Amino acid sequence: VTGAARSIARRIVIAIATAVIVVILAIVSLPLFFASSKVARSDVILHFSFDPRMHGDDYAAQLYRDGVAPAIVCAGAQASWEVYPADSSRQHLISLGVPPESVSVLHLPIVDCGGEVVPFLSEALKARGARSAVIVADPTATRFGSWRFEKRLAEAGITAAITFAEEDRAEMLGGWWRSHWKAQRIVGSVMNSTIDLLYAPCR
Amino acid sequence: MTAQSGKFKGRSRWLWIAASGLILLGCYFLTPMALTGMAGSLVRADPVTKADLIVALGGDPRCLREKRSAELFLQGMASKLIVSGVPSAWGINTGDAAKRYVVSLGVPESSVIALRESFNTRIEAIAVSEIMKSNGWHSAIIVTSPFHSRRAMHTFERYAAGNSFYSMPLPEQKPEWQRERWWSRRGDMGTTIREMIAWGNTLAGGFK
Repeated sequence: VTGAARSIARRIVIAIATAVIVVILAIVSLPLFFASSKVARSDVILHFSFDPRMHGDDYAAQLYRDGVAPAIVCAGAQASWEVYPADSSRQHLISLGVPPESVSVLHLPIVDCGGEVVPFLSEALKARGARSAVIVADPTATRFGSWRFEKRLAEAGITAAITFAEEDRAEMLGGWWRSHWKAQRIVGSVMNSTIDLLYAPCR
Repeated sequence: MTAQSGKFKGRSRWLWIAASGLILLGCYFLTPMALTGMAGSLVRADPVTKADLIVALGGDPRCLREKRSAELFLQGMASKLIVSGVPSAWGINTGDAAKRYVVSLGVPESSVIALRESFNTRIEAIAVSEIMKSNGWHSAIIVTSPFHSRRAMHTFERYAAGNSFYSMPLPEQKPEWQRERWWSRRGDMGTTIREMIAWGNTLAGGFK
C-alpha cells in the first residue's frame, strides 16, 4: 500500500468518524430542543396542541381541572376548507368534562411563522380580559417558541408560560428517527427556528 | 534584476486583487440567479392536455390546489377528480372537506373521489395508481403547488408507472410560493428548504 493510498484511507476514516460523532451529538442533544415545561396560575389556558397522536387535549383539560385557569381558548389556523382543528378540539375538551362555557375558539390566519401570530393572540386575549396565559404547545416547538412567545406577549402586556404534556415529550424523543411524522416535525422545528432568526417579524 | 523582480511582484499582487474583486463581484451578481435557478428546478409544468382524471394533491390548507383542479374539471380537462387528505383532529378528515369544497365549486359529487389517508405523496401515488387500475384509466393531470410539482411527478412516475401523468401546478403568485427572490420571504424560504430536504429523502428512499 502506497503512502498516498494510506493518506486517502485515513482521511475517509476521519470523515466517517466525524459524521458519526456529529449524528450522535445531534441525537444526544435533542432534549435540549425542548424547553422545560412551566405552569403558572393564569387567566386563560391557550391551547395550540391539537394533534390526535399526542395528548394536548387531555393535558389542557387536566390543567383546567387543577384550577390553573378558569377558561381554555383553542387557537389555530385552517387545516382545510372550513376545517379548523381548534373547533374539534373544543368539542373533545367538552367531552372530557370541561364546561362548554369555559372553552372558546380563536381562528387564526395562515401565517409564515409563529411570530406573525402574536399580534392576533395578544389582541384576542386582551379582548377576553386576560393578562396572563398558560400556553399548551407541541414540545418540539418550545425551545425557541417559548422564548419568542414569552418575550413578544410580555411586550404586549401579557404574561405567558409555555407548557406541554410530559407524555408528548417522551413520545417525541422515543425513536423519532424511525417515524416519518416525528422526524418531519423535529427537523421542521429545528429548521423553522433557525430560519425565523433571519426575518425580523419572526424573531 | 532585483528592481524588475519587485516590479513584477507588485503587478502580480494587483492582478490577484483585481481577479479576486472580479470573482466577488461575479458571485454577488450570479448568486441570486443561481438561487432562482435552483428553485426553478423544483417546478415542472407540462403542456395543457386532456386526461382521464385530475388529481389534486393534499397538504394545502388554503385549498388552492383543489380550486385549480375544480377549474380544470369545469373546463372539461377530465371527467373525474380525486382530492386527498388526512385524518385531522377528532373525527375530521381533510379529504372529506376538500371534496365538499370542490362540490361547492360546481363539480358533481359523483365525479369526485376523496382519498382519506394520504400522509405523503408516495401514499397518494399508490392509491391513485390502484384507482386508475381498477377503473381502466391511464392518464391523469397532477395539480399541486409549484415547488412540489417536480417531486410529485417523480413520485407518481415511479410508484404509478405505466400511466401518463401531466403536471399542471398552481401559478407562482401570492399566497403561493414564488421562485423569484424566494430567500427574501420567510414563507418561501422555509418552503424551498423543506422541499430540498424532502427531495433528499425521496432520492435516498428514506422515510416512506
